Amino acid sequence: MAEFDPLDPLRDAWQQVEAPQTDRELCDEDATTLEAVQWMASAWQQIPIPEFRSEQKPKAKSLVWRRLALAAAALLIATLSWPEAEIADNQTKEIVAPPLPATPTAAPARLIANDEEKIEILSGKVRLTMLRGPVASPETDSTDY
Amino acid sequence: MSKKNTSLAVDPADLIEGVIQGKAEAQDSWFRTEYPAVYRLCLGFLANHAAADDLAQDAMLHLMDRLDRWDAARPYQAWRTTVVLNLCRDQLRKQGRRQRAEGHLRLVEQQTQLPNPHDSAAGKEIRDVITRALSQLSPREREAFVLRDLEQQATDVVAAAMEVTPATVRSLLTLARRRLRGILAPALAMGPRAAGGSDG
Repeated sequence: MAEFDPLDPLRDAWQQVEAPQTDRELCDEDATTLEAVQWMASAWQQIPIPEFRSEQKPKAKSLVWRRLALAAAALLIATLSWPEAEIADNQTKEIVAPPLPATPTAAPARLIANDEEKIEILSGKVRLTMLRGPVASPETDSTDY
Repeated sequence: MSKKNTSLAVDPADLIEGVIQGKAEAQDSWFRTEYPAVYRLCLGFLANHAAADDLAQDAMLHLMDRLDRWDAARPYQAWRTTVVLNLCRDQLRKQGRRQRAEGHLRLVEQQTQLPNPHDSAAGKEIRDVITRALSQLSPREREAFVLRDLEQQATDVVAAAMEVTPATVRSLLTLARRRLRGILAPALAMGPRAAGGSDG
């Protein structure tokens, strides 16, 4: 026979205690809580709004066009500076590279082959072969060795 | 409760489209309507006037830059609130501030009368009382309370903005309201000050 514990009824009652709802609606709150919330809500509408301090309000359109203008300017600068870079490179090459001596006696160039596949020109020790066929890229459409 | 806070009385999609297209009238209308709402949100979330003043300026620029990302299928107010909320959370993380004053439930050292909440002349004093009270809530409680009880947004809209369930919003509200009761009850017991009156 189990020994009677005088705290058992208390423990049972304890387990029956219902916790208040944690997600109560405002109307279910006590009067003081209601008053506090209502004071806050009324006071909220009286808060002064400070002035927007930027000198000029940002305009979405100007921001978009500003970005486009910056991109166009960058592209223009890149485009304008490209031939200048090539000229600079060429000038550099001309300055750096010594002029080639003139060939004292240059052999006259003569056509040695002209058919459907190629054209060959011989001048002294230099043979120039140009292949016919589909259009090639500039890199390949050049002197063939 | 006072007047319902409405934002963007016109169709948000039409107005925002006008703003994105750079129409001056749309931009002015959007700015005039949104800036007060954004400032109040910042004040509520940060519980600090100076910080809210600064962040509200940045938040307006931030919103304007991202208007084209708003999905019209989603309520504009919820989207805007989420953007501002995330900015405020980032600000709080940067500052590393502890918004919750543990065990400090008194509004001021001495009990004083609260200003009349309908007294527009007491705006700055009211602002100070509100920010001090809100600063004693946890950030999440403050977010829920500001959005639901002060901005009067629907619970599901608040839940969407905070990215929690409506039940969580209600739980946070219960905690926030009870805490504010403890903060304001002594001053409320003294009765409101008459409009135009001063403290002391």
